[in-house]
Amino acid sequence: MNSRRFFLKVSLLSGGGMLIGGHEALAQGPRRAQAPLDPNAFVKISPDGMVTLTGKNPEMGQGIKTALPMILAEEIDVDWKLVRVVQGDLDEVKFGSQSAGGSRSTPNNWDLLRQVGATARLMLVQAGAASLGVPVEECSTEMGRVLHKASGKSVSYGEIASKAAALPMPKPELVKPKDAKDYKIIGKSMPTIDLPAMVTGKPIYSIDFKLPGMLFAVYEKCPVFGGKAVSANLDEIKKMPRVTHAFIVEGNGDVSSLASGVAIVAEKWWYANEARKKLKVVWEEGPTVSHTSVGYDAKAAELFAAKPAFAIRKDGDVEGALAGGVKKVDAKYQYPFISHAQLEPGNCAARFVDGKLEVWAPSQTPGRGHRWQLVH
Amino acid sequence: MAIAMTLNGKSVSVDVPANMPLLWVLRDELEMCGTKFGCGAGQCGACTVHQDGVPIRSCLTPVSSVAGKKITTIEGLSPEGAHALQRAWMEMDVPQCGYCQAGQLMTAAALLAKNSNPTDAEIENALDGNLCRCGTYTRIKKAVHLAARLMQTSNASGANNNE
Repeated sequence: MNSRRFFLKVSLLSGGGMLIGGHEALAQGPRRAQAPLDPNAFVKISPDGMVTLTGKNPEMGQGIKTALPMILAEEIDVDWKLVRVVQGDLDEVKFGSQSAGGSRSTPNNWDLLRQVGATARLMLVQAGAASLGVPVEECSTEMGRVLHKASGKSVSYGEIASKAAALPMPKPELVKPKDAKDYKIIGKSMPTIDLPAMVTGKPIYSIDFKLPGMLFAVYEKCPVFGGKAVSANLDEIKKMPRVTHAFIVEGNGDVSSLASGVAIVAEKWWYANEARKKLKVVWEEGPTVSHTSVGYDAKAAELFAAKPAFAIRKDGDVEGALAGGVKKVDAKYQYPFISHAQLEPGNCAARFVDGKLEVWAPSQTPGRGHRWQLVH
Repeated sequence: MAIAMTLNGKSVSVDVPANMPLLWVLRDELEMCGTKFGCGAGQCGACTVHQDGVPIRSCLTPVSSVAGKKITTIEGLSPEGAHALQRAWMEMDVPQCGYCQAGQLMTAAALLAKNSNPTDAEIENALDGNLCRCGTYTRIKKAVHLAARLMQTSNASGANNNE
């Protein structure tokens, strides 16, 4: 609770600097945003009043493609029924940090998107006031319209959207996000954006993405982390039906990055996977071959029996409470080395043209892949 | 070899190896990606389609074995999302990531086709082999009950479901 209050205080004090500060804290790579985010990257309003909002973070079932645009729509003050959401491409200069993890997407983007949405609303109010010929301070908004209550005049966002988009970005200190008591969208349960597509089988997942003439690869990695492919029956594999390529990938020596293995490429995935069944690889297993689950268990038992190395947290008198308890429950929990895998198998589509690699992938942290490419 | 079947009410013929699983015929030969590849081992149910109204695991079904059969996929349930189950799924906001849901819907559709008012136990039993990594099971169960009610209402009013 204390840390949260502290954060709010800092953001109040620094005003628009909060946006910059947020970026500084989040961007770890060579790309780093230096200016407040442009609402035009997040919000497009067409002349008929339809609002297209960008969902900036990876959607993986946590609902963030619905939740973050709700914050924007609330602050812009539009009717949720007229909102369309598109998934943002990876562009951390334009959108700020784009990653999912630790249940942090909403708290990390809350201040940022309120500011972006409220900036868009202010720009719409400025354009609306100019269009109505009334002072900006006398205007308010309601469900996609700029109102001048004194004269009863109003104009729809659609009519003034292109004028608003061309205005200079207002100073962050002039931007006032809404009071919570005025929320119409935040706090309500809105249906998942992709719900109709999900129940009718529309191709919305990375694994459904296809490019014309695309080839499909399977990749056989060493069963031991850090192991290397030395040789394989590549000539035999290349003769398998519809297989177009088969080759060894050296890897870059980083266990958590590009592992060494054998790639088999075919016209369709199934042919590549059929060929994989005939693959014979000679592996150089490397030093981690000595790692086993049995070994990890033994090490855990050894550490558990030893004196605790340090206390992470200490509240009250645990020993005393345990000694004085009416009933004592003893339990041991073990957790295996396991992937927290999703149902969609790992996959990715890539296109290499003119020295540029374009990637479509189901990723929690797409920016990390981008930075990896820049480094290597 | 050329293999002919009825797919979502239309005759189709594909020229592929006899042992190619139906899943890969659908996804890569016919570009119908609604049916999902999950485990490839018949363990997760994401690839469930109907063969003559019976739910099957398309990832383990050689395409030669469905020659001459009627196959229904999620795209054939109702492209507009008008099937009672699809309407119930939307009403209850069932999916999270949604990846398993085509399989869940197809298994549930086969259940409702032969049992118009299933009990909790019957729903659990029928959908037992459809895994959901997000854990939407309780909403799935509620939505199957809702769909059963919707189907009874529409049958009473003379409307016809696709399945």
